[in-house]
Amino acid sequence: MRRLIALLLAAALTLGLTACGGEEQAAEPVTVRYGLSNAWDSLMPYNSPSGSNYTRIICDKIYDRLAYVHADGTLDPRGATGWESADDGMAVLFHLDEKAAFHDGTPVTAQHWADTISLITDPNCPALGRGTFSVLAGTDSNGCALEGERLGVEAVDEYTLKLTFKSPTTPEDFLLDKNRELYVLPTHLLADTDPAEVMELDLWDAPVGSGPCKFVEEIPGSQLVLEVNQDYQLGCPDFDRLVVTVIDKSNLLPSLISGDLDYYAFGGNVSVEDAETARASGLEVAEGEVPNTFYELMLNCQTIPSAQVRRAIDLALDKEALCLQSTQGLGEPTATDVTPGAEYTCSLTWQRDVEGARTLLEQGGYDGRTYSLACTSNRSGLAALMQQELDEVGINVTIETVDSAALFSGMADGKYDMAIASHTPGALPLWFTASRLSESNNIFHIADLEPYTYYIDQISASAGWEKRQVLLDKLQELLADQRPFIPLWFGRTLHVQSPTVDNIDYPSSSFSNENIWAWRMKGA
Amino acid sequence: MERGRAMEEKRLDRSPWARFRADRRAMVCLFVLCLEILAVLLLPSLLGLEPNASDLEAGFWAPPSAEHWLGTDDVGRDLLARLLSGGQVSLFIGLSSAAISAALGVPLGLLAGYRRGGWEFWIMRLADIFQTFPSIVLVLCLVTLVGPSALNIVLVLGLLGWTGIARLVYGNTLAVREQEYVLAVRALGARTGTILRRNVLPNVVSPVWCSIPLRAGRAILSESSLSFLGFGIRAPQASWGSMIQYASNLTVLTSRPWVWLPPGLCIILTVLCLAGIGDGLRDALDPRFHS
Repeated sequence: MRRLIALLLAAALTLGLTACGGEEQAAEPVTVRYGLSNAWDSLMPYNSPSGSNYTRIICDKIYDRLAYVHADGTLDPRGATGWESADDGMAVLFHLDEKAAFHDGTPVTAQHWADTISLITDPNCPALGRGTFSVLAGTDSNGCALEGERLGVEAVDEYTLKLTFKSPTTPEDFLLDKNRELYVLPTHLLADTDPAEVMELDLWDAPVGSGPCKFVEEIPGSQLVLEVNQDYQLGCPDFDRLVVTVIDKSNLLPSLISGDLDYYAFGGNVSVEDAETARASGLEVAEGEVPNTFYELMLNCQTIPSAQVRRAIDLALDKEALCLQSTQGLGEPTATDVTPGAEYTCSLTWQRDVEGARTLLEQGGYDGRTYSLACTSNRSGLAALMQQELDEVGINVTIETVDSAALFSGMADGKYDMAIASHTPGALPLWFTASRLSESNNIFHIADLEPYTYYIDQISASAGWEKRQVLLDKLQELLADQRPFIPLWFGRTLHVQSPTVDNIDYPSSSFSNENIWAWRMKGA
Repeated sequence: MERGRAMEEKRLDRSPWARFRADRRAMVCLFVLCLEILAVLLLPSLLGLEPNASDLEAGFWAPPSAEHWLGTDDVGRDLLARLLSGGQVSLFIGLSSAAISAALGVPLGLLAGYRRGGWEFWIMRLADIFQTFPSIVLVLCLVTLVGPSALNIVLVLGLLGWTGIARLVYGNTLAVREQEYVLAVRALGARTGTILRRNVLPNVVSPVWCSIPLRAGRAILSESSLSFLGFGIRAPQASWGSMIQYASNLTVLTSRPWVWLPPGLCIILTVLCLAGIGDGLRDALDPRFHS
């Protein structure tokens, strides 16, 4: 009898455990494992000290933006279903998607957008990166709202947002330039908060946004677990969770090959040589068609005050060899920051001229001093090549290997004489110069910005391609004459395709947005 | 049997250098290390090698050829030239930092062991604190603070490496200070400095000679780790560690072994040689080991 009872109990226990296991298996969420080589520094999009693409690509998941920007410069609706110019080009009306809602179920209205912009431009709010809003009427050059002036943002009705600018701006120009830095915040949860204390809220530790993913949990600097927003207005993918893990850059591709990752940002970028390894491991690799990197040599015009010496540095560099070393054939040397293939062009050409460089050095009174050249560790080979080329014309350089943040702060503080930097290029004529040649970000330490800002303001204020192109040519001539920075090359990239996820718009990832709502699991 | 014992006694009666020479393994290690030092010092000028010049015609990542025996790196620089130049840096870092560690560790260990009291407490607690931190993390922080250069790495590794040597000397000094000959000299009124220099130091220093080569080998490995993590010496200077860093790239690791294998082998060989020399010195200098 006792044996029978024991047998029955064992059978019941086994059945119970089997049932539990079955239930657990059924509830296991489908997860996409996403690799990122650097950590985000904030989950509050207007409180990122670095303002890096790593933070942007994370905020892109949690918060919504007005539009989706493709790598080729075309735009798709996102938070806004459409847009149109108003007030003779001085304003833009955004028609918001009525289906958009925050993760707590509150509908996203034009008032949320207006309140977000009012909050961030409030001088009492310790927001970072509000320079984005300096194009709006009623703000200063830092993007702070001016007292006594009307801020250029208005909720015309529940789902129409109006932005008014300081100078005529097309919706496309605005979105191409600013969309990646413009997010809507859950201002209904901030109603009674003092703007000065808004960054201190616990809300940003477990943020509520209206983007395609909901926050679940975070191990700061290491891992972020997100859940798919089933109610996102553009649809939702066929998986449940997105787990973002910070993995060293050199381990991203091996992790994809070994099956530890499904995808890595940005767009599964891979070098030409690593592409061969990826192909050999059975992964597909596609070539990007649009330039997605722009390399420049930043110069400190205070410590290299002579334009002749700066031009000599330009002539001394063998951009062809540098470009080949860096892109392995997927790039084009350039004499300008105007993006090739975009609407605007520049006729300036580049040529190495060692003798010309030596002559310019003499004319510029180069005294043989040693310049410091800052670069990140992965570009030390590039810096070494530059050092040899500059040495050939008689310019002495020492290389300082630092991290990216130290490089930019060092240039801003005037610690370094030169630095190698790269950027994601844009289709607009002023994508680079407008932000670099301004009083708020005079990173090249130019003594007199007025000649540059004159053309920049003129181009911004001009309507029509022809007039802008003429002004742009003049600006580029001025830049070539003064050389506050040296454009090096535009590079394209290769994208390793995810072995498990379909429909990823790989090239657009470099522009800090990903169409995650359209991603589909392969074979699902 | 008798003959063997007589030979052993004869060997023990000989000078330390003669005892060291009798150790065939230690002599081979010393020979290889000397050969390595001569090669890194003389071959670059004899072969006219330039470690920092790119050969753009040969191309980037060129495989070994008659012109470039070990191929070229990502900037078209000759890898043999960089291996030899990197050897100078790595050996300099290893040997210099070991010398600094010994120069600090020996007097501190002597003072702590002989004077005891406050000296013992503060020096040994300081050693405890130094040893509490994971050494690579501490080295990384300090190198980041002072900047990555060969000299700074030597100083950081040397200044952080004194604790092991100090503990070794401290332990031996505790035993020696109670020996009768030391008590006798002290009773005769000799000054502490004289006692330490003449009576204690010669009797506690032999294990230090053995630990210096091991310390040097560890410093070479630490520099390699620092370089691998991107905190090593300043570009365009090469070191064996910075050359191995190329192996962090999957393609280089899997399909270009000529890039990272030679510096890796050099590090292994050097560390093995230093360890062999250390063992040989221990055998030659420490009479207790023979008894």
